[in-house]
Amino acid sequence: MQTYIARRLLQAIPVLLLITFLVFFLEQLIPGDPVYALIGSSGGQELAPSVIRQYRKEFHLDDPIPVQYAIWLQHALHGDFGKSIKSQRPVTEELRARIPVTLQLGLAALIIGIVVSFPLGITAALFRNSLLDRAITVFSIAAVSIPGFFLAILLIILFAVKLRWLPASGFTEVTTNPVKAIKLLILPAFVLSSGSIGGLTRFVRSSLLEVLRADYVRTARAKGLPGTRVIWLHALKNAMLPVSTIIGLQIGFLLAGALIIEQIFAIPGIGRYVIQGFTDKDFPVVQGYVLLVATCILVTSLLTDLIYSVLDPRIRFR
Amino acid sequence: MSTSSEPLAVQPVLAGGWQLSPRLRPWLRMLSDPIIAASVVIVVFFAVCAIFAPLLAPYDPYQTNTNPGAFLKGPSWTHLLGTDVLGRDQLSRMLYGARVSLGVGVVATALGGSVGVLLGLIAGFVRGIVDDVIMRCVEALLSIPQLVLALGLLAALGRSVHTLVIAIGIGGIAFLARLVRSQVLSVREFDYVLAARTIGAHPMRVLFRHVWPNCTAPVIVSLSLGVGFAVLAESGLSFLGLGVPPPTPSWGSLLQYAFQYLYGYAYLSIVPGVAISLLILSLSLIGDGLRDVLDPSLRGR
Repeated sequence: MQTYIARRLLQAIPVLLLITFLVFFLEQLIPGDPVYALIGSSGGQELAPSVIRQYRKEFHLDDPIPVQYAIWLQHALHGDFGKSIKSQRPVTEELRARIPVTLQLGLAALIIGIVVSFPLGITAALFRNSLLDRAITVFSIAAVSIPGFFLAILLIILFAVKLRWLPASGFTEVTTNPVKAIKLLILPAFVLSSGSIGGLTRFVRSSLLEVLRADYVRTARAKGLPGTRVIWLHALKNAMLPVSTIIGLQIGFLLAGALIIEQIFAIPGIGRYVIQGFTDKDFPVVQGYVLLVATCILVTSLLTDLIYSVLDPRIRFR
Repeated sequence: MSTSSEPLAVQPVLAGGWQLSPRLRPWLRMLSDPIIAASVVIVVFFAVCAIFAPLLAPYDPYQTNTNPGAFLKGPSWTHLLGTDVLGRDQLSRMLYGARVSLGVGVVATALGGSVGVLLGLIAGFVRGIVDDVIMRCVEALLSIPQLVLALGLLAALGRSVHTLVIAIGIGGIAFLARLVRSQVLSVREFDYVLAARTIGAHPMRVLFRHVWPNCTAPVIVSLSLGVGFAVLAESGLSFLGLGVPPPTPSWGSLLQYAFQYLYGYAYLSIVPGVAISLLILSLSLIGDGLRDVLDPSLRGR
């Protein structure tokens, strides 16, 4: 067990370093003098050579690239992603202030995703090849194929414009006005979960089908256990193992999806913030965001692997 | 993989004594599924729209008309899909938009796919330190969602169609590399590969003549799905206003314009939205169908 954890952690370190290098390298791709991108050139103004020289010194732009990277990495590891050009405040602070909002949206979407897809997937597997199974399959393929932004538009037209049941956009803290907050969160959270619902439903179905074919399920049936007991105790328990890893991997979809969903529903999370940063040519904001998202996904997938190895000891000996 | 080994008697004999190649039969079986046939028709239809957009478009997609009563008009006989906020013909913009949406999707997937396949082949065949280095890079790339990576690259390189293709293509590298590598790892253990090595075939010959042909099935399937992901990424970025710079139309940017006039002009967003959804749905159904044809062991999963 310890060796497995140690090996996985050791493998993750070079990946994390590569991610940081990739994010650092984005800076090198900027055409022209990066000084302009890093301090923000207003209207293509030319800076005096002495000013440029001063900034190049401040950002270590005259050092060799490996040295620049080392300095950048040292800052990044201390949570210093530089200052936002627009607000002149540290990017870390700006992102941290908005993380709880995105987290609320993501969690709500994850819960909806699980609550909808598990019963659907299990039903489809138990009534395999029936009309119900076909219908659920079609539903899950459609859920994956309809892009979130279009589904959002359809739902806004239906529930906000025509029926006027739900507000079209906005965000309120749960603590200040719970009813309004939940009303505002329903549509975005559902849209964000739609991609996960499709994928999870299909995965739960195939995972359960796999287990239902296993010898021990046949044995349980053969020794005369009632069908429901076989399914709930023997089959589902084992079918949920691989499903647990997929849930861990949803965070990537959710974070990428939040980028679009937060924009549509005017939710002030990190996704909306980074799009604003992109529009303002606020490069440090975009850079900090990419690094934050990549690190989150890497850490979650590592944790998922470790949890899975605890749940299913066979994995450690592969 | 499907070299003819079945008795000739089973083959359907067409008029004139010409026999259908056994290689074609699984494809015909795939097309006989009405859902997959419909998907192929839809994709071909959109492709025709994209290729012949200049011939099919009734108006110049960039021609604005801001005379009162000429913009934000509903569908009519003069403008089948209505006009947008600048009085541009929505049908013409849809047709030209197909060029960008499909073009970016296909080119990005082809570029990212080829790089990914090459990396996967090298990693799986050479093994050792090269494999480790490539796979760590792949894992790093996999940790950054396609959309987020594209956002970073577009922020650094600036918005243009070329940057968009590169940004979306890079996101596809990692999936293909991982897939091909695992395929190579299993194929290289086959006896006929050992036989080829034993008689002294050059490693390059073993790789491209013996290993690669047996890796193509899952690659074709995932490329078909990859085009769908790329179209999704392009339309998502364009919808956010990060994709192709205006006034070039793409389905995503048409939807972005339409979104601003949701109240009262909902029809403007329905057409591009349905087009994107249909295209992605069809591509993923074709991908499923291809998987059934090319890799029967995975059928029904």
